[in-house]
Formats: sequence, C-alpha cells, structure tokens
Amino acid sequence: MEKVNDKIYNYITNNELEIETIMKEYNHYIYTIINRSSIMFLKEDKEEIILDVYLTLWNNKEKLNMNKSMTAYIAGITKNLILKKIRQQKHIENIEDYQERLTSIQNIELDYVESQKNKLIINELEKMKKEDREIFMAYYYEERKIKEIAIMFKISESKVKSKLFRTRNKLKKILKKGGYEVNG
Amino acid sequence: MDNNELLEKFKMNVAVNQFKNEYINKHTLKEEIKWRKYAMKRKLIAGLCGGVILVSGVAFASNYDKIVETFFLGKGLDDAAQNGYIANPDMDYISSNTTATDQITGITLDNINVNAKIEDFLMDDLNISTHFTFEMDTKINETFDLDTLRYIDLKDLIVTDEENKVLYCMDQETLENYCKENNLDEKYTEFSDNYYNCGLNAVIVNHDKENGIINFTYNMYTGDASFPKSKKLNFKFTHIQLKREEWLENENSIVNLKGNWNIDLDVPEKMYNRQSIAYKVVSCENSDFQVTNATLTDTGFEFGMIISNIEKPKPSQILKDLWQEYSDGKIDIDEFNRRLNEDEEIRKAFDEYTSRPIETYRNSQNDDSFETITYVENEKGEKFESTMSPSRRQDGNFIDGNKYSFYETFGLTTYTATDKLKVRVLFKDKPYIVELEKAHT
Repeated sequence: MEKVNDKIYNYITNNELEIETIMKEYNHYIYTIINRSSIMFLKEDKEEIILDVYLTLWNNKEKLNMNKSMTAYIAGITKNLILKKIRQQKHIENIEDYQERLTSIQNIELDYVESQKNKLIINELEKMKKEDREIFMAYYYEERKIKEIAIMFKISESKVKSKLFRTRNKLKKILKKGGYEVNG
Repeated sequence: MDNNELLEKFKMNVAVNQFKNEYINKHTLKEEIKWRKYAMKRKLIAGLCGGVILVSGVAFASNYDKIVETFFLGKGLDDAAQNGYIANPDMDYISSNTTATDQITGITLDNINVNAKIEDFLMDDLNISTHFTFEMDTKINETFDLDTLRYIDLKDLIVTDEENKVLYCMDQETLENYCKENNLDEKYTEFSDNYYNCGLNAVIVNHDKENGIINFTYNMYTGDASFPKSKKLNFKFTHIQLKREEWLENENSIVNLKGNWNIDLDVPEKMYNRQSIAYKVVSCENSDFQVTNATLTDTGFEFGMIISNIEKPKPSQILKDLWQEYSDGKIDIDEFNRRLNEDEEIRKAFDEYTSRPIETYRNSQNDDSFETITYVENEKGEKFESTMSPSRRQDGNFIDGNKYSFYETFGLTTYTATDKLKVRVLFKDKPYIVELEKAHT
C-alpha cells in the first residue's frame, strides 16, 4: 500500500503521533508483510509482531524523520521484528536475504520492545479494580497530572496518590518476581 | 485481535514501559546523579586537557534467586562470582541496639534492634563487592514504613585492612578519627597508598516490611590505584540512613539509625593471592597498533594499545571560545558546565571533538551488534564487550600529536578465557584482528 502522502508529519497532531490512525491504516499492510515472509507464524506470534511494530514506532517517535515515509518505517520495523522472531524461534533461515532489505530504520531501536515481558504486569493490571487501572493508565499513558486525574475521577489528590502508590507496589512485586534484569 | 483490542494492548504496554522506566530510573537515579557529576568533572578535564579517562557504571537488577552469586555489575564480575570467586563468611549477625530518629518530624524511637551481616563478598584489584543483610526490629515501621524504602546509606562506613589501610571512607570525621587512633597522617581531600580513592555503587535488592529484612549490595571500587592484597577486612559503621521514595523531592525524608556495627572478614587466599595472566601478541593486522597491555584477571580482561598515525580532531571555534571565556575568568565552572550540557551547538561540537574512534559497548543486545564495536573473542567463538562494572577502566586519549591511547576492560575472565584470544578492533569502521596467546613466564 502506498498513500499519496504518507510522510510522517501527516501523522502528527499537537506534537503527538496519531497511533490510532496509523493502526487503522497499517494493520493490513503489516499482516501482509508477515504473511509474505517465508515463515509460518502462529496467530499469536503475528499479533505480537504487530503490537511490537507500533510500540517500536512509539518508543522511537522522537527519532522519526518528518519527511520520510511512514510506509518505509513500518516496513522496516516489521521486517526487523520478523527477523528477531525468527532468531528467537531458532528457525534456520538465510538471514542475509533479510538484511539486504533492512536499511530504512537504522536509528530505530528494537530492543525497547518488551511486549512479551510486559504480559505478567499487564495481567496483574487487568485483575485490578477498573478505577485503579484507569488511574494508572491516565498517569502513565495519558501522562496526566495528579490534579487532573483527581478531577477526572472526582476524588481527592491524596486518594489518587495513594491509589497509584498501591498499584505501583503491586506491580513492583511482579517486576521483582519476574526477575527483570535491567542492566545489560 | 481487532483494532480496539490492539489499541488497548498498545496503551497498556506504553503505560507499563513508562512505569518500568520510572521504577528503574528511581533505583538508579542516585547513581546517575553521582555519575553525572563525575562525568561532568571528567568532561571538563577532558576538554581542558584533551583527553578522556572514565571509570563508569550503573547497575541494577532485582532477580532474588541470583543474589548470592551476582553483583549485577556485568559479565566480568558476575562470571567470576558464579564460578566461585566469591567469599561466603557464614557469619552470625552483628547486633546493635539503635535509636531511630525521623529527620522531618523529629520523632525518636529507642531500642530498635538492628542485626547486620555480610552474606558474601568479592575483592580484587578494583572492587570490593558485598551483599549485606539487615534484620530490623519491625517496630521500625512505626516511624519508617519499610515498604517505602528507596535508598540505604551506611553514612560513616569505613573499610580498613590488617595494615590499617583505609580502602573506603566517605565521611571526613570518621576518617580523621580513625587516623588519630592509628597515628596515620591521611587527609580526607588527598588519596595515597593508605587511603584509596574509592567510589560506591549501592543497590537495594530486597526489603520486606513483615520481617524487617533488607538485602542490599554495596559495591566499592577504586578510581586510581589497585586495592592492596589484604588478608583481613574490617567494616565499621555507626550511622545508617533509611531514605523514603520521596527523598528525591525532599532530602529530609530520612530516618537515622544510630548504633554500632563492627564486622571482621577473612579474605580467602584466592583473593589475596590473586594473580593476573599476561597475553602476548601473535599477530596484528594493523601495523599502527602497538599493544601495551593484555592482562587477564578473575574479573576482567584489560587491554590497552597505542595507535599511531591518527589525526587528532580539532576543536571548533565555538568550543575554543568557551574555553577562552573560562580561562579568562569570564565564566565560572558552573556556567562552563551548564553551557556544555545545555547549549545544543556547544554540546554537539564537544561530542564531535571527543568522539571515540573505537567503541566497545553495544547499544543493543542483538548478536549482530557486536559487528559495530571492538570486542574480544575466545577460541570457542564467545564474544565479550566492555564490562559494565563501575571499576571498568576505559581510556581514549590523543597523545603526542598523532597517537591515540586506547584502554578497555572487557567482560572476559579467567573462567571464560582460552589460551588463545582474538581482539577484533573496529577502527574507523574497519575491523582489524589482534591475535593473542597466553605468555608463559
């Protein structure tokens, strides 16, 4: 797929990447790339790759060249993630064939993608009370201030703080038990 | 997975990544602050003298199962520990009755018993790494909720050996008292063969409110001279500071515990008799390389060389102007550092001026990323990049006009090395192999 103008700047609004729009436009394209690779991936592997494509894009949003094509970025990231998946699954594959095509995203870091590792924490989040989860999301995803969250949920600021504190503590335990090694 | 589901998963992952970053950064922030200050000083020295010498490292991990054999300091030290280069003193708790005082409220609690012991430790030329366990009377929770513990400081810790050498002390009064008691003539501001320039990397590994247990590592490392081959170590401290999560915003969010702990340790023979193994050059693909050091230890591989016929980068005018302003006394050191860090143009010029022609640490952990760095390889084909240890010694200096001095500590150890090694030097984007073999002396 090629949009008439698929430059990155078309996907920026108020200095933020329009991830929802990108998802709508590129899901099918990513599926196509995955399906065209020589490996038969399981459905969940495909879904994981797709999620990781968007996470990679998001995590590297500061590095995207505004005048470059979104399609090129998406294609490059997807191919790299396919390659990564192949390595994880230890398929015997001629990697050089892929490498020749992986030139467009040299400054993009795939290592940051950790959706697989995040599963344990997300499971814990999903088990929490809806309000606690929503407060967590408002703080960490929407990057709202405590004051704003208090207004949104009609509770006091100290209540927001204590809810966040408790959620953090629960998740930290998962982090620790999960054996997260942060250093290289 | 439909689009809504995908979007929700995406949001959760972004939030969790944010949370993890915050969590990791908080644990390492103290280190980072310290490191930034240190790096700043080094940068300044580098800028003024034309060289860069770094002792660096940030480490954190939280895998309890590996506590006993891991110091979270990268491959070299951890490989050594996991291969038995670690001392387990099997000691009883050293107990002290303490008074706990909250620095904000002034509330004091008496008779808080604090037991301390060192579970295990490692000592080599550059590191003294220890795993402490503290067992506190849970009454402490009345003034300090252990769930909120973020940092622990052994404020007046002094580590000495059987010859009264001071291996670590960051408290002036403690050092002066020790020197007075032992008729030593050391000064807090100067380092010598008897008072080591020693840094600290401290990490809380675990803390449990229910039983008052705190596990943490205290990694001390020399900045200059090698540690002596001490047979006995003494750890003494009387002041523990427990710092809450909000300590970063409020530096008074501390509880002070005053007591008295005195821990004696016997250093195992393998540590005080530690030996290094020299390697010699068998072949080198670049005639401009002159290897000056290839030494293997229990915890790392030291490699140094001088590269000839290399042109030194010239500082841009903007940098010259900055240095001139500083030399003329028009700006002070703080302003100099501020501009160096905050002015994008100056920072870029500085980075270009000081960029290293040889990189030794991978930006990503892909196997392929070894191709972008200089590394050492054993006969089994295992590759080792520079170590993450704080004691890592790294040098990249232009010297004598057209020469470059390179030095690095790699994560290869006596436990992973083979008789023959290859150093693959990536210099100006071209790889050159230096073949080494064990020198039989």
